[in-house]
Amino acid sequence: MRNRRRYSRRGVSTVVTTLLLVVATGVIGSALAAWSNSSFAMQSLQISNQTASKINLVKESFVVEDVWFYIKQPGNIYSANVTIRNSGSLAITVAKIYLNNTQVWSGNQVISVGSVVTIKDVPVGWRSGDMQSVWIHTARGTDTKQAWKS
Amino acid sequence: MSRINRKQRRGLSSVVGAVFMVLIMIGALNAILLTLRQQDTITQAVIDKSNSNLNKLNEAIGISDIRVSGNKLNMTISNAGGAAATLKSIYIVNETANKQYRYDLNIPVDGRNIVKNIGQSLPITLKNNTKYSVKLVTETGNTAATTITPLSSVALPMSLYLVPPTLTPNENITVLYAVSNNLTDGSLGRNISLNLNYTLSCTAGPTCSITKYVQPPSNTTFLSRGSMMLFKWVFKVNAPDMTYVTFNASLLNAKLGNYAIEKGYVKLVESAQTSFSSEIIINSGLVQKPEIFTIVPSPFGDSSDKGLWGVIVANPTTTPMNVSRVVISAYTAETTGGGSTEMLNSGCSVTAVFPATTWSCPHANMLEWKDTINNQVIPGLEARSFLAKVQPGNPTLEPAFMISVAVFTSMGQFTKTGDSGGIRDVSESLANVYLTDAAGTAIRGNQTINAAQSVTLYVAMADLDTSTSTYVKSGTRLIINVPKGFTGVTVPGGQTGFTTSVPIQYSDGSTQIVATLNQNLGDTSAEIKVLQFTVTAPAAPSPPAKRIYIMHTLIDGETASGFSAGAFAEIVLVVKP
Repeated sequence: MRNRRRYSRRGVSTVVTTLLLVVATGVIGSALAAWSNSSFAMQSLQISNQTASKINLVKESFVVEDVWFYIKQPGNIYSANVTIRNSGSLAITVAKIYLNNTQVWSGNQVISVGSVVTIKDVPVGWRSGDMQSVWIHTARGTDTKQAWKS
Repeated sequence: MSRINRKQRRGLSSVVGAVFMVLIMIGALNAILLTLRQQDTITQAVIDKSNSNLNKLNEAIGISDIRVSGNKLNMTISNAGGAAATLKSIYIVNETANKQYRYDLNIPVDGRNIVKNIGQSLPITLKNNTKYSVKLVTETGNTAATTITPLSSVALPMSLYLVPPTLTPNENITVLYAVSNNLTDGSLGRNISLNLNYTLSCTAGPTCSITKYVQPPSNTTFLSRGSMMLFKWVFKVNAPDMTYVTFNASLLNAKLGNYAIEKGYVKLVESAQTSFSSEIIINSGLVQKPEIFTIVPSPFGDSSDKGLWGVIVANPTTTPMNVSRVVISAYTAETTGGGSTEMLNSGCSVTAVFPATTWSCPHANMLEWKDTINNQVIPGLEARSFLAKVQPGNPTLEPAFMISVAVFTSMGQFTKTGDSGGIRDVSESLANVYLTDAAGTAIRGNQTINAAQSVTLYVAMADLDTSTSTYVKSGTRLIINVPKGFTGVTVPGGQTGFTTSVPIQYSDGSTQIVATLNQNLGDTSAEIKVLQFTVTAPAAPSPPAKRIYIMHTLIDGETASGFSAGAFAEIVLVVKP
């Protein structure tokens, strides 16, 4: 009887072990596959975003048509009107204007495709006949730097 | 049994692992493919951007011309590049008022093309005497800029030239006015208007006037940047001696002090060099002096009869000229002294033709007409002949004795040398050639004819010696050089004594008539053969004025003795309008 019992329990542990191994393998494998797919998806999303950002940056194009230096009255405020044309295929947002590497204006001036906007009354210190370095910075990070005679 | 199961499960884990591996690889591959696609998109965007920038570089717009038409801007824009450009904005700055105007444009300019009349539709009205700067901006950001500078703010280089600077009364003076636009950029914008003032230093009246004959086709014109224009006027100045004529040239609305002044001087020339006869005289140029022409017999005897001598004085000026004395002198190479060197004897026998009196031979080899009280007056652009028949002296053989003619006038004394005649110490012909009439009775040295009209002229070829043994041989030629300008020269055939041929037309416009004697001339007594021909006088110049032409007429042949027959006459033809 005792021998028969011993024979009837023989291999249970192997099965259990095998089952455990299979389950463990399935769980670990699934987890690894899920993690890797998630990671790849996240990477893909990042790449897509970065690519879109860079493409937008590349497609962004604008022209500083004119910088008109004048003295605003009343108050004798030395100012400038900066006229910008969006010559690209995306709307742009002018974020900052620098004069001689000094920020003189900041904002969110949106310029739609093909249109012209004059950012008026930018307070700048200028002297007649001097060359002024005008630097336009957009929200996407495009920069244009030009010299204008005041 | 367990052995069998163990064998059945063998490799299951590898399969499961492979499945997971495939899943992971698919995910990784997707990520890689996405990355590649994104990279491709970026590359395409960069290419597009590069093309756009290349197009920007291929634009080359420029403002070829800018001016103000009807107070509106009028520009011509050129695009020298290969890519089309689109003009999007124009900025106009009133530099005087320091005010800026901006207007939208949408004007395409194809590559290597121009577009005209840009700015005519803009609502801005440009003011006179105001400086503007203009800037054009294309869609890609290229710009072209220039300025419009008013004439009142720039001193243009200008010069005035008078030709001639010294002139005689009643002569034309040409005024040349040169203006340069030396602006380094921009344009004058508007047309320039000429402004020429002139004054005489004499008191205005019939003898003090200035008349404009020629002026520029238009008083206003556009002077482009970097160009120079020359304007011409012609005036006739009727003013007394030592009068100044002042010309002041400028431009309307020119900058203060921007003008050019030149002075001309009206002056009579009191003396001048001797000159030879000319083919054509057209006014007097810079020297006011008579022109002297001669009629010389050759051979001049020896004979007891008289040969014809003549001096024709032409006044090429427009003012009258008084002649008080005419002296003809003859010279020989032979040692002087004794009768053998006298072509003209002292106190020679003279028959006056014109003037009718006061001819004489004061001493040997000199024939003179003199009247210091009653001068012969030659009107302006007219001629006067001084003619006399003189008996020859008795020299030795002189195939070519020299002749000089001196004329004393109110404009000074002038002398002509260089002519010669022949004379022989035994009986010889008195060969002559001169202007005459249809009957051959008149003796003339000059004739006045109407411009552009046909006229018949008569030239006499004569042997004035009455001896039958002296004559001019048949075959001797009468040559008439009709001056250039005369046209339609026709010589009728069948004329008595002459065999004629078709006149020869020379490339300089002159015509030569050659008539050959077909019988001896003067072998019965003194004899005259008249050759007639028809010519059409030149048209009158503009402005109308008289012109003086010289018709050289000569004999080419020999006499019965074999002596050269070379008489000649420089006949003056005055063509009046």
